[in-house]
Amino acid sequence: MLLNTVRLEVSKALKNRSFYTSLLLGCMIAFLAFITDLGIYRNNLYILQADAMNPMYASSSLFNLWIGGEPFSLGSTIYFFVFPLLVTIPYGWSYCEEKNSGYTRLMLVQCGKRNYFLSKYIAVFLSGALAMVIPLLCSFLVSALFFPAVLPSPIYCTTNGIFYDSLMSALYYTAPLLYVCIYLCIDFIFGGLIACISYVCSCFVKYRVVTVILPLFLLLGFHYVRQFVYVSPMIRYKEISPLFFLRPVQVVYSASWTVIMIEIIVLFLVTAFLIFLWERRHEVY
Amino acid sequence: MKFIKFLKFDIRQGIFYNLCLIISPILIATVIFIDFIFKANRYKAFDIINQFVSFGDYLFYLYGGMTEYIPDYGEVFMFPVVWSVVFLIAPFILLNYPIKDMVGNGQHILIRSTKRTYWWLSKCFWNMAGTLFYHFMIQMTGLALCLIFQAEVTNIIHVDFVKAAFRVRPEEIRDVSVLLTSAVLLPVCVSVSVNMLQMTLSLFIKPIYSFFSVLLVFIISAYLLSPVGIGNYAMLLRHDKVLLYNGVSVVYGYAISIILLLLSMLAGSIRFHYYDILENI
Repeated sequence: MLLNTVRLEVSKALKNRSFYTSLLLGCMIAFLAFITDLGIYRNNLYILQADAMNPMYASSSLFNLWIGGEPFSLGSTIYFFVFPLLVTIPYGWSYCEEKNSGYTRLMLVQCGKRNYFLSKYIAVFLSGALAMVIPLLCSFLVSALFFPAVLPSPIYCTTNGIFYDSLMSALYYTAPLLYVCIYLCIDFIFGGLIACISYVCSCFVKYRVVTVILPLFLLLGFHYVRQFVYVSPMIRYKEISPLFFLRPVQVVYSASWTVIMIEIIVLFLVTAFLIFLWERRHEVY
Repeated sequence: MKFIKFLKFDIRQGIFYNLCLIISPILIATVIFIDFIFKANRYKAFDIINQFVSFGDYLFYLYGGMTEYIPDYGEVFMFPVVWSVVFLIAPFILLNYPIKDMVGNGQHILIRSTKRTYWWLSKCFWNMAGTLFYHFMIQMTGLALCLIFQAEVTNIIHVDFVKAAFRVRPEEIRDVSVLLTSAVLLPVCVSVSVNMLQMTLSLFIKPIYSFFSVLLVFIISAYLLSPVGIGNYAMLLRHDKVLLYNGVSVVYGYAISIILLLLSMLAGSIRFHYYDILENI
Protein backbone atom coordinates (compact mmCIF):
# COMPACT_ATOMS: atom_id res chain seq x y z
CA MET A 1 0.00 0.00 0.00
CA LEU A 2 2.80 2.41 0.95
CA LEU A 3 4.57 1.82 -2.33
CA ASN A 4 1.40 2.49 -4.32
CA THR A 5 0.72 5.72 -2.41
CA VAL A 6 4.32 6.86 -2.86
CA ARG A 7 4.10 6.10 -6.58
CA LEU A 8 0.84 8.01 -6.87
CA GLU A 9 2.13 11.05 -4.96
CA VAL A 10 5.46 11.17 -6.79
CA SER A 11 3.67 10.91 -10.10
CA LYS A 12 1.34 13.78 -9.08
CA ALA A 13 4.33 15.83 -7.92
CA LEU A 14 6.43 15.38 -11.03
CA LYS A 15 3.70 15.47 -13.63
CA ASN A 16 2.01 18.75 -12.93
CA ARG A 17 2.12 22.15 -14.60
CA SER A 18 3.64 23.91 -11.56
CA PHE A 19 6.64 21.57 -11.62
CA TYR A 20 7.26 22.24 -15.30
CA THR A 21 6.77 26.00 -14.80
CA SER A 22 9.25 26.02 -11.94
CA LEU A 23 11.78 24.09 -14.03
CA LEU A 24 11.24 26.46 -16.95
CA LEU A 25 11.74 29.52 -14.73
CA GLY A 26 14.84 27.99 -13.17
CA CYS A 27 16.31 27.07 -16.56
CA MET A 28 15.56 30.55 -17.94
CA ILE A 29 17.44 32.15 -15.03
CA ALA A 30 20.29 29.67 -15.52
CA PHE A 31 20.36 30.55 -19.22
CA LEU A 32 20.60 34.24 -18.32
CA ALA A 33 23.65 33.44 -16.20
CA PHE A 34 25.10 31.39 -19.05
CA ILE A 35 24.76 34.30 -21.51
CA THR A 36 26.65 36.60 -19.10
CA ASP A 37 29.33 33.98 -18.48
CA LEU A 38 29.75 33.37 -22.20
CA GLY A 39 30.36 37.10 -22.68
CA ILE A 40 32.91 37.09 -19.86
CA TYR A 41 34.68 34.07 -21.31
CA ARG A 42 34.91 35.62 -24.78
CA ASN A 43 36.21 38.83 -23.27
CA ASN A 44 38.78 36.91 -21.24
CA LEU A 45 39.93 35.05 -24.36
CA TYR A 46 40.61 38.33 -26.18
CA ILE A 47 42.57 39.65 -23.22
CA LEU A 48 44.52 36.43 -22.75
CA GLN A 49 45.40 36.10 -26.43
CA ALA A 50 47.00 39.50 -26.29
CA ASP A 51 49.26 38.37 -23.47
CA ALA A 52 51.88 36.05 -24.90
CA MET A 53 53.81 35.69 -21.64
CA ASN A 54 51.14 34.01 -19.51
CA PRO A 55 47.96 32.85 -21.22
CA MET A 56 46.35 32.03 -17.79
CA TYR A 57 44.25 29.20 -19.18
CA ALA A 58 43.27 28.00 -15.71
CA SER A 59 41.75 31.34 -14.75
CA SER A 60 38.55 30.87 -16.81
CA SER A 61 37.15 27.38 -16.86
CA LEU A 62 33.90 25.52 -16.74
CA PHE A 63 34.17 25.34 -12.95
CA ASN A 64 34.11 29.09 -12.40
CA LEU A 65 31.85 30.00 -15.29
CA TRP A 66 28.73 27.94 -14.63
CA ILE A 67 25.87 29.39 -12.58
CA GLY A 68 27.13 27.84 -9.35
CA GLY A 69 30.76 28.66 -9.96
CA GLU A 70 30.49 32.43 -10.02
CA PRO A 71 28.78 34.73 -7.51
CA PHE A 72 28.50 37.93 -9.54
CA SER A 73 26.29 37.47 -12.65
CA LEU A 74 22.68 38.60 -12.64
CA GLY A 75 21.40 35.08 -13.39
CA SER A 76 23.37 33.53 -10.55
CA THR A 77 22.26 36.29 -8.17
CA ILE A 78 18.60 35.82 -9.07
CA TYR A 79 18.73 32.03 -8.93
CA PHE A 80 20.27 31.81 -5.48
CA PHE A 81 17.83 34.40 -4.14
CA VAL A 82 14.59 33.00 -5.56
CA PHE A 83 15.33 29.27 -5.20
CA PRO A 84 13.17 28.96 -2.05
CA LEU A 85 10.22 29.89 -4.27
CA LEU A 86 11.33 27.68 -7.14
CA VAL A 87 11.44 24.61 -4.88
CA THR A 88 8.06 25.19 -3.25
CA ILE A 89 6.14 26.07 -6.43
CA PRO A 90 6.11 22.48 -7.82
CA TYR A 91 4.31 20.63 -5.03
CA GLY A 92 4.80 22.41 -1.69
CA TRP A 93 1.20 23.62 -1.85
CA SER A 94 -0.36 20.20 -2.46
CA TYR A 95 -1.23 19.31 1.14
CA CYS A 96 -2.88 22.71 1.65
CA GLU A 97 -4.92 22.27 -1.53
CA GLU A 98 -5.90 18.70 -0.69
CA LYS A 99 -6.86 19.62 2.86
CA ASN A 100 -9.07 22.45 1.62
CA SER A 101 -10.76 20.36 -1.06
CA GLY A 102 -11.37 17.36 1.23
CA TYR A 103 -9.17 15.02 -0.83
CA THR A 104 -7.02 14.36 2.25
CA ARG A 105 -9.98 12.76 4.05
CA LEU A 106 -10.53 10.36 1.18
CA MET A 107 -6.85 9.46 1.03
CA LEU A 108 -6.65 8.89 4.78
CA VAL A 109 -9.54 6.42 4.58
CA GLN A 110 -7.99 4.68 1.59
CA CYS A 111 -4.37 4.36 2.67
CA GLY A 112 -4.04 5.40 6.30
CA LYS A 113 -2.44 8.41 7.93
CA ARG A 114 1.14 7.09 8.10
CA ASN A 115 1.25 6.07 4.45
CA TYR A 116 -0.36 9.27 3.24
CA PHE A 117 1.88 11.66 5.20
CA LEU A 118 5.02 9.69 4.40
CA SER A 119 4.26 9.51 0.68
CA LYS A 120 3.41 13.18 0.61
CA TYR A 121 6.69 13.98 2.40
CA ILE A 122 8.69 11.93 -0.10
CA ALA A 123 6.88 13.50 -3.08
CA VAL A 124 7.28 17.08 -1.82
CA PHE A 125 10.94 16.44 -0.99
CA LEU A 126 11.63 14.97 -4.43
CA SER A 127 9.80 17.72 -6.32
CA GLY A 128 11.69 20.46 -4.45
CA ALA A 129 15.03 18.71 -4.72
CA LEU A 130 14.66 18.17 -8.46
CA ALA A 131 13.40 21.73 -9.04
CA MET A 132 16.54 22.97 -7.31
CA VAL A 133 19.06 20.72 -9.02
CA ILE A 134 17.80 20.31 -12.60
CA PRO A 135 18.39 23.98 -13.62
CA LEU A 136 21.85 23.84 -12.01
CA LEU A 137 22.65 20.60 -13.80
CA CYS A 138 21.37 21.99 -17.11
CA SER A 139 23.49 25.09 -16.63
CA PHE A 140 26.57 22.96 -15.89
CA LEU A 141 26.02 20.72 -18.91
CA VAL A 142 25.32 23.61 -21.29
CA SER A 143 28.36 25.49 -19.95
CA ALA A 144 30.44 22.33 -20.51
CA LEU A 145 29.64 22.63 -24.21
CA PHE A 146 31.32 26.03 -24.38
CA PHE A 147 33.92 26.35 -21.64
CA PRO A 148 37.00 24.14 -21.24
CA ALA A 149 37.00 21.89 -18.17
CA VAL A 150 40.53 22.97 -17.23
CA LEU A 151 41.66 21.86 -13.79
CA PRO A 152 41.38 25.01 -11.63
CA SER A 153 44.62 26.31 -10.19
CA PRO A 154 44.87 27.71 -6.63
CA ILE A 155 47.00 30.52 -8.10
CA TYR A 156 43.79 32.00 -9.49
CA CYS A 157 41.75 31.54 -6.32
CA THR A 158 40.30 35.06 -6.62
CA THR A 159 38.72 34.24 -9.98
CA ASN A 160 37.63 30.80 -8.77
CA GLY A 161 36.14 32.12 -5.54
CA ILE A 162 37.41 29.06 -3.64
CA PHE A 163 40.01 29.92 -1.02
CA TYR A 164 42.15 27.83 1.29
CA ASP A 165 39.50 27.78 4.05
CA SER A 166 36.54 27.22 1.69
CA LEU A 167 34.52 24.05 2.02
CA MET A 168 36.20 21.17 0.11
CA SER A 169 38.78 23.52 -1.41
CA ALA A 170 41.31 20.68 -1.74
CA LEU A 171 38.76 18.66 -3.67
CA TYR A 172 37.92 21.64 -5.91
CA TYR A 173 41.53 22.00 -7.01
CA THR A 174 42.13 18.27 -7.48
CA ALA A 175 38.80 16.72 -8.58
CA PRO A 176 36.51 19.63 -9.50
CA LEU A 177 33.87 17.41 -11.09
CA LEU A 178 33.48 15.51 -7.85
CA TYR A 179 33.26 18.84 -6.01
CA VAL A 180 30.40 19.93 -8.28
CA CYS A 181 28.63 16.60 -7.81
CA ILE A 182 28.89 16.79 -4.01
CA TYR A 183 27.62 20.37 -4.04
CA LEU A 184 24.70 19.38 -6.25
CA CYS A 185 23.89 16.67 -3.69
CA ILE A 186 23.92 19.29 -0.88
CA ASP A 187 21.64 21.52 -2.97
CA PHE A 188 19.42 18.51 -3.71
CA ILE A 189 18.93 17.77 -0.01
CA PHE A 190 18.33 21.41 0.91
CA GLY A 191 15.95 21.95 -2.02
CA GLY A 192 13.88 19.00 -0.78
CA LEU A 193 13.92 20.10 2.85
CA ILE A 194 12.94 23.69 2.00
CA ALA A 195 10.04 22.34 -0.04
CA CYS A 196 9.05 20.32 3.05
CA ILE A 197 8.91 23.58 5.07
CA SER A 198 6.14 24.59 2.70
CA TYR A 199 4.42 21.25 3.46
CA VAL A 200 4.75 22.00 7.18
CA CYS A 201 3.31 25.50 6.67
CA SER A 202 0.22 23.85 5.15
CA CYS A 203 -0.51 22.39 8.58
CA PHE A 204 -1.01 25.89 9.99
CA VAL A 205 -2.03 28.04 7.03
CA LYS A 206 -5.01 27.48 4.75
CA TYR A 207 -3.93 29.67 1.84
CA ARG A 208 -1.93 28.02 -0.90
CA VAL A 209 -0.05 31.15 -1.91
CA VAL A 210 1.07 31.77 1.68
CA THR A 211 2.44 28.24 2.10
CA VAL A 212 4.48 28.61 -1.07
CA ILE A 213 6.00 32.00 -0.20
CA LEU A 214 6.52 31.54 3.55
CA PRO A 215 9.74 29.43 3.29
CA LEU A 216 11.38 32.31 1.38
CA PHE A 217 10.69 34.66 4.26
CA LEU A 218 11.81 32.11 6.83
CA LEU A 219 15.14 31.82 5.00
CA LEU A 220 15.35 35.59 4.59
CA GLY A 221 14.64 35.99 8.32
CA PHE A 222 17.31 33.42 9.13
CA HIS A 223 19.68 35.26 6.80
CA TYR A 224 18.96 38.43 8.76
CA VAL A 225 20.17 36.68 11.92
CA ARG A 226 23.68 36.93 10.39
CA GLN A 227 23.61 40.64 11.28
CA PHE A 228 23.50 39.71 14.97
CA VAL A 229 25.99 36.84 14.73
CA TYR A 230 28.74 38.26 12.53
CA VAL A 231 29.65 41.23 14.68
CA SER A 232 33.43 41.21 14.65
CA PRO A 233 35.36 42.00 11.47
CA MET A 234 38.40 40.23 12.97
CA ILE A 235 36.84 36.75 13.16
CA ARG A 236 36.54 34.38 10.20
CA TYR A 237 33.04 33.06 10.83
CA LYS A 238 31.40 30.10 9.16
CA GLU A 239 28.48 30.79 6.84
CA ILE A 240 25.15 29.93 8.44
CA SER A 241 22.70 31.20 5.82
CA PRO A 242 21.52 28.67 3.21
CA LEU A 243 20.99 31.60 0.82
CA PHE A 244 24.79 31.88 0.72
CA PHE A 245 26.27 28.49 1.51
CA LEU A 246 24.16 26.64 -1.05
CA ARG A 247 26.24 28.38 -3.70
CA PRO A 248 29.13 26.17 -4.73
CA VAL A 249 31.35 29.23 -4.48
CA GLN A 250 32.28 31.14 -1.34
CA VAL A 251 30.21 34.32 -1.00
CA VAL A 252 31.38 35.94 2.24
CA TYR A 253 32.37 33.37 4.82
CA SER A 254 33.29 29.78 4.07
CA ALA A 255 30.71 27.05 4.48
CA SER A 256 31.32 24.25 6.94
CA TRP A 257 30.23 20.63 7.10
CA THR A 258 29.23 21.04 10.74
CA VAL A 259 26.82 23.90 9.95
CA ILE A 260 25.45 22.11 6.87
CA MET A 261 24.88 18.84 8.74
CA ILE A 262 23.31 20.58 11.74
CA GLU A 263 20.92 22.50 9.50
CA ILE A 264 20.01 19.36 7.55
CA ILE A 265 19.30 17.45 10.76
CA VAL A 266 17.34 20.31 12.34
CA LEU A 267 15.27 20.88 9.20
CA PHE A 268 14.56 17.18 8.85
CA LEU A 269 13.66 16.70 12.50
CA VAL A 270 11.42 19.78 12.65
CA THR A 271 9.56 18.99 9.43
CA ALA A 272 9.26 15.29 10.25
CA PHE A 273 8.12 15.98 13.82
CA LEU A 274 5.47 18.47 12.74
CA ILE A 275 4.11 16.25 10.01
CA PHE A 276 4.40 12.75 11.44
CA LEU A 277 3.59 13.57 15.05
CA TRP A 278 1.78 16.91 15.27
CA GLU A 279 -0.28 16.86 12.09
CA ARG A 280 -0.89 13.11 12.26
CA ARG A 281 -2.59 13.52 15.59
CA HIS A 282 -4.64 16.38 14.29
CA GLU A 283 -8.29 15.80 13.47
CA VAL A 284 -8.94 16.13 9.75
CA TYR A 285 -12.70 15.70 9.79
CA MET B 1 -24.17 49.79 -3.60
CA LYS B 2 -22.12 52.91 -3.15
CA PHE B 3 -18.39 53.03 -3.74
CA ILE B 4 -17.77 54.40 -0.27
CA LYS B 5 -19.43 51.32 1.24
CA PHE B 6 -17.03 49.09 -0.67
CA LEU B 7 -14.07 51.11 0.48
CA LYS B 8 -15.20 51.13 4.12
CA PHE B 9 -15.64 47.36 4.00
CA ASP B 10 -12.22 46.81 2.43
CA ILE B 11 -10.44 49.13 4.81
CA ARG B 12 -12.08 47.46 7.79
CA GLN B 13 -11.61 43.86 6.65
CA GLY B 14 -8.32 44.27 4.80
CA ILE B 15 -6.49 46.61 7.14
CA PHE B 16 -7.99 46.94 10.61
CA TYR B 17 -9.03 43.28 10.94
CA ASN B 18 -5.86 42.11 9.20
CA LEU B 19 -3.72 41.14 12.20
CA CYS B 20 -0.81 40.25 9.96
CA LEU B 21 -0.70 43.76 8.51
CA ILE B 22 -0.69 45.25 12.01
CA ILE B 23 1.75 42.90 13.73
CA SER B 24 4.32 42.30 10.94
CA PRO B 25 5.49 45.91 10.51
CA ILE B 26 5.82 46.32 14.29
CA LEU B 27 7.83 43.11 14.51
CA ILE B 28 10.00 43.99 11.50
CA ALA B 29 10.62 47.51 12.76
CA THR B 30 11.55 46.23 16.22
CA VAL B 31 14.04 43.65 14.90
CA ILE B 32 15.59 46.16 12.50
CA PHE B 33 15.76 48.78 15.22
CA ILE B 34 17.52 46.40 17.62
CA ASP B 35 20.02 45.59 14.86
CA PHE B 36 20.39 49.32 14.14
CA ILE B 37 20.96 50.31 17.76
CA PHE B 38 23.38 47.40 18.36
CA LYS B 39 25.41 48.57 15.40
CA ALA B 40 25.34 52.18 16.57
CA ASN B 41 26.53 51.17 20.05
CA ARG B 42 29.29 49.01 18.60
CA TYR B 43 30.48 51.80 16.29
CA LYS B 44 30.39 54.25 19.17
CA ALA B 45 32.43 51.90 21.35
CA PHE B 46 35.04 51.56 18.59
CA ASP B 47 35.01 55.34 17.93
CA ILE B 48 33.83 54.80 14.35
CA ILE B 49 31.08 57.38 14.93
CA ASN B 50 31.38 60.54 16.97
CA GLN B 51 27.73 61.21 17.81
CA PHE B 52 24.89 58.88 18.70
CA VAL B 53 22.37 58.00 15.97
CA SER B 54 19.07 59.71 15.23
CA PHE B 55 15.64 58.85 13.83
CA GLY B 56 16.90 60.07 10.45
CA ASP B 57 19.66 57.45 10.59
CA TYR B 58 17.07 54.79 11.37
CA LEU B 59 15.00 55.79 8.33
CA PHE B 60 18.15 55.77 6.22
CA TYR B 61 18.98 52.31 7.60
CA LEU B 62 15.51 51.09 6.57
CA TYR B 63 15.38 52.52 3.08
CA GLY B 64 19.10 52.86 2.33
CA GLY B 65 19.45 49.77 0.14
CA MET B 66 22.90 49.64 -1.38
CA THR B 67 25.21 51.68 -3.60
CA GLU B 68 25.95 50.75 -7.19
CA TYR B 69 27.11 47.18 -7.72
CA ILE B 70 29.87 46.69 -10.26
CA PRO B 71 30.16 42.99 -11.15
CA ASP B 72 33.67 41.59 -10.93
CA TYR B 73 35.37 38.36 -9.86
CA GLY B 74 36.32 39.81 -6.50
CA GLU B 75 33.05 41.69 -5.97
CA VAL B 76 30.33 39.33 -4.80
CA PHE B 77 26.76 40.64 -5.04
CA MET B 78 25.30 40.89 -1.55
CA PHE B 79 21.61 41.75 -1.67
CA PRO B 80 20.55 44.43 0.83
CA VAL B 81 18.82 42.26 3.39
CA VAL B 82 17.13 45.00 5.48
CA TRP B 83 15.78 46.70 2.38
CA SER B 84 14.62 43.36 0.90
CA VAL B 85 12.75 42.44 4.08
CA VAL B 86 11.01 45.84 4.25
CA PHE B 87 9.96 45.88 0.60
CA LEU B 88 9.07 42.22 0.10
CA ILE B 89 6.91 41.65 3.15
CA ALA B 90 4.40 44.35 2.12
CA PRO B 91 3.46 42.69 -1.22
CA PHE B 92 3.33 39.32 0.55
CA ILE B 93 0.85 40.54 3.16
CA LEU B 94 -1.27 42.35 0.59
CA LEU B 95 -1.25 39.49 -1.92
CA ASN B 96 -4.02 37.30 -0.63
CA TYR B 97 -6.90 39.59 0.35
CA PRO B 98 -8.28 40.57 -3.11
CA ILE B 99 -8.15 36.95 -4.29
CA LYS B 100 -9.80 35.77 -1.07
CA ASP B 101 -12.47 38.42 -1.58
CA MET B 102 -13.46 36.99 -4.94
CA VAL B 103 -14.82 33.83 -3.31
CA GLY B 104 -17.50 33.27 -0.68
CA ASN B 105 -19.01 36.45 0.74
CA GLY B 106 -16.94 38.65 -1.53
CA GLN B 107 -18.61 37.11 -4.55
CA HIS B 108 -22.06 38.02 -3.18
CA ILE B 109 -20.94 41.60 -2.58
CA LEU B 110 -19.57 41.78 -6.08
CA ILE B 111 -22.86 40.53 -7.53
CA ARG B 112 -24.92 42.94 -5.40
CA SER B 113 -22.82 45.90 -6.42
CA THR B 114 -23.56 45.31 -10.13
CA LYS B 115 -20.47 47.41 -10.88
CA ARG B 116 -17.11 45.75 -11.25
CA THR B 117 -15.29 49.07 -11.52
CA TYR B 118 -16.31 50.04 -7.98
CA TRP B 119 -15.02 46.74 -6.64
CA TRP B 120 -11.70 47.14 -8.43
CA LEU B 121 -11.27 50.80 -7.47
CA SER B 122 -12.03 49.97 -3.88
CA LYS B 123 -9.34 47.26 -3.94
CA CYS B 124 -6.91 49.77 -5.48
CA PHE B 125 -7.51 52.28 -2.70
CA TRP B 126 -7.30 49.50 -0.13
CA ASN B 127 -3.96 48.42 -1.60
CA MET B 128 -2.61 51.97 -1.43
CA ALA B 129 -3.93 52.49 2.10
CA GLY B 130 -2.54 49.10 3.19
CA THR B 131 0.95 49.89 1.90
CA LEU B 132 0.91 53.36 3.45
CA PHE B 133 -0.29 51.87 6.73
CA TYR B 134 2.51 49.27 6.62
CA HIS B 135 5.23 51.90 6.16
CA PHE B 136 3.56 54.21 8.67
CA MET B 137 3.61 51.45 11.28
CA ILE B 138 7.28 50.70 10.58
CA GLN B 139 8.23 54.35 10.92
CA MET B 140 6.11 55.00 13.99
CA THR B 141 7.46 51.90 15.76
CA GLY B 142 10.94 53.20 14.97
CA LEU B 143 10.02 56.60 16.35
CA ALA B 144 8.67 55.08 19.56
CA LEU B 145 11.82 52.96 19.96
CA CYS B 146 13.97 56.03 19.32
CA LEU B 147 12.24 57.71 22.26
CA ILE B 148 12.70 54.65 24.45
CA PHE B 149 16.41 54.25 23.57
CA GLN B 150 16.97 58.01 23.82
CA ALA B 151 18.11 58.43 20.24
CA GLU B 152 17.69 61.90 18.72
CA VAL B 153 14.26 62.43 17.14
CA THR B 154 15.50 64.53 14.24
CA ASN B 155 15.97 64.07 10.53
CA ILE B 156 19.73 64.57 10.82
CA ILE B 157 21.87 61.92 9.17
CA HIS B 158 25.28 61.00 10.50
CA VAL B 159 27.29 60.18 7.40
CA ASP B 160 29.96 58.31 9.37
CA PHE B 161 27.27 55.89 10.59
CA VAL B 162 25.87 55.48 7.07
CA LYS B 163 29.34 54.77 5.68
CA ALA B 164 30.07 52.19 8.36
CA ALA B 165 26.67 50.49 8.35
CA PHE B 166 26.42 50.19 4.56
CA ARG B 167 30.16 49.63 4.04
CA VAL B 168 30.25 52.55 1.63
CA ARG B 169 33.57 53.85 0.36
CA PRO B 170 34.09 57.51 1.33
CA GLU B 171 34.37 58.60 -2.30
CA GLU B 172 31.03 57.01 -3.24
CA ILE B 173 28.52 59.29 -1.48
CA ARG B 174 28.04 62.96 -0.76
CA ASP B 175 28.18 64.39 2.74
CA VAL B 176 24.43 64.56 3.29
CA SER B 177 23.42 65.90 6.67
CA VAL B 178 19.63 66.06 6.56
CA LEU B 179 17.11 63.51 5.37
CA LEU B 180 14.54 65.31 3.25
CA THR B 181 10.88 64.32 3.52
CA SER B 182 10.67 64.05 -0.28
CA ALA B 183 13.48 61.47 -0.20
CA VAL B 184 11.82 59.38 2.54
CA LEU B 185 8.42 59.45 0.83
CA LEU B 186 9.78 58.19 -2.49
CA PRO B 187 10.51 54.61 -1.28
CA VAL B 188 6.97 54.51 0.16
CA CYS B 189 5.60 55.78 -3.15
CA VAL B 190 7.58 53.11 -5.05
CA SER B 191 6.28 50.46 -2.66
CA VAL B 192 2.68 51.60 -3.32
CA SER B 193 3.07 51.41 -7.10
CA VAL B 194 4.89 48.06 -7.06
CA ASN B 195 2.22 46.56 -4.81
CA MET B 196 -0.42 47.87 -7.19
CA LEU B 197 1.47 46.29 -10.08
CA GLN B 198 1.45 43.00 -8.20
CA MET B 199 -2.31 43.17 -7.61
CA THR B 200 -2.90 43.89 -11.30
CA LEU B 201 -0.56 41.11 -12.39
CA SER B 202 -2.44 38.65 -10.21
CA LEU B 203 -5.43 39.16 -12.51
CA PHE B 204 -3.35 38.02 -15.47
CA ILE B 205 -1.21 35.31 -13.88
CA LYS B 206 -1.46 33.29 -10.67
CA PRO B 207 -0.79 35.34 -7.49
CA ILE B 208 2.35 33.35 -6.74
CA TYR B 209 3.84 34.33 -10.11
CA SER B 210 2.83 37.96 -9.63
CA PHE B 211 4.76 37.92 -6.34
CA PHE B 212 7.63 36.24 -8.18
CA SER B 213 7.59 39.09 -10.74
CA VAL B 214 7.75 41.70 -7.97
CA LEU B 215 10.65 39.78 -6.39
CA LEU B 216 12.45 39.88 -9.73
CA VAL B 217 11.78 43.62 -10.11
CA PHE B 218 13.40 44.30 -6.74
CA ILE B 219 16.38 41.99 -7.16
CA ILE B 220 17.14 43.24 -10.68
CA SER B 221 16.86 46.83 -9.44
CA ALA B 222 19.32 46.09 -6.64
CA TYR B 223 21.72 44.50 -9.10
CA LEU B 224 21.52 47.11 -11.85
CA LEU B 225 21.67 50.82 -11.17
CA SER B 226 19.39 52.13 -13.87
CA PRO B 227 16.64 54.79 -14.06
CA VAL B 228 14.41 52.10 -15.60
CA GLY B 229 14.57 49.80 -12.55
CA ILE B 230 11.88 51.19 -10.27
CA GLY B 231 13.45 49.60 -7.19
CA ASN B 232 16.41 51.98 -7.53
CA TYR B 233 14.19 54.88 -6.48
CA ALA B 234 13.34 53.00 -3.30
CA MET B 235 17.01 53.03 -2.23
CA LEU B 236 18.15 56.25 -0.60
CA LEU B 237 21.77 55.37 -1.30
CA ARG B 238 21.07 55.50 -5.03
CA HIS B 239 19.41 58.93 -5.11
CA ASP B 240 21.36 61.59 -6.98
CA LYS B 241 21.37 63.72 -3.82
CA VAL B 242 23.28 60.98 -2.01
CA LEU B 243 25.28 59.00 -4.56
CA LEU B 244 28.13 60.97 -6.08
CA TYR B 245 27.94 59.49 -9.57
CA ASN B 246 25.11 57.90 -11.61
CA GLY B 247 22.45 58.47 -8.94
CA VAL B 248 18.78 58.33 -9.92
CA SER B 249 16.64 61.47 -9.85
CA VAL B 250 14.06 61.80 -7.07
CA VAL B 251 11.70 63.82 -9.29
CA TYR B 252 11.97 61.23 -12.04
CA GLY B 253 11.27 58.56 -9.41
CA TYR B 254 8.01 60.20 -8.37
CA ALA B 255 6.95 60.53 -12.00
CA ILE B 256 7.70 56.87 -12.78
CA SER B 257 5.95 55.66 -9.61
CA ILE B 258 2.80 57.65 -10.35
CA ILE B 259 2.73 56.57 -13.99
CA LEU B 260 3.18 52.91 -12.99
CA LEU B 261 0.46 53.25 -10.35
CA LEU B 262 -2.05 54.78 -12.77
CA LEU B 263 -1.21 52.33 -15.55
CA SER B 264 -1.58 49.37 -13.19
CA MET B 265 -4.95 50.65 -11.98
CA LEU B 266 -6.16 51.16 -15.55
CA ALA B 267 -4.87 47.82 -16.85
CA GLY B 268 -6.39 46.07 -13.85
CA SER B 269 -9.70 47.81 -14.35
CA ILE B 270 -9.90 46.74 -18.01
CA ARG B 271 -8.81 43.20 -17.19
CA PHE B 272 -11.22 42.88 -14.28
CA HIS B 273 -14.08 44.03 -16.49
CA TYR B 274 -13.68 40.84 -18.57
CA TYR B 275 -12.44 38.62 -15.76
CA ASP B 276 -14.26 35.32 -15.37
CA ILE B 277 -14.46 35.13 -11.59
CA LEU B 278 -16.20 31.74 -11.46
CA GLU B 279 -13.76 30.17 -13.88
CA ASN B 280 -10.50 31.57 -12.54
CA ILE B 281 -10.92 31.28 -8.80
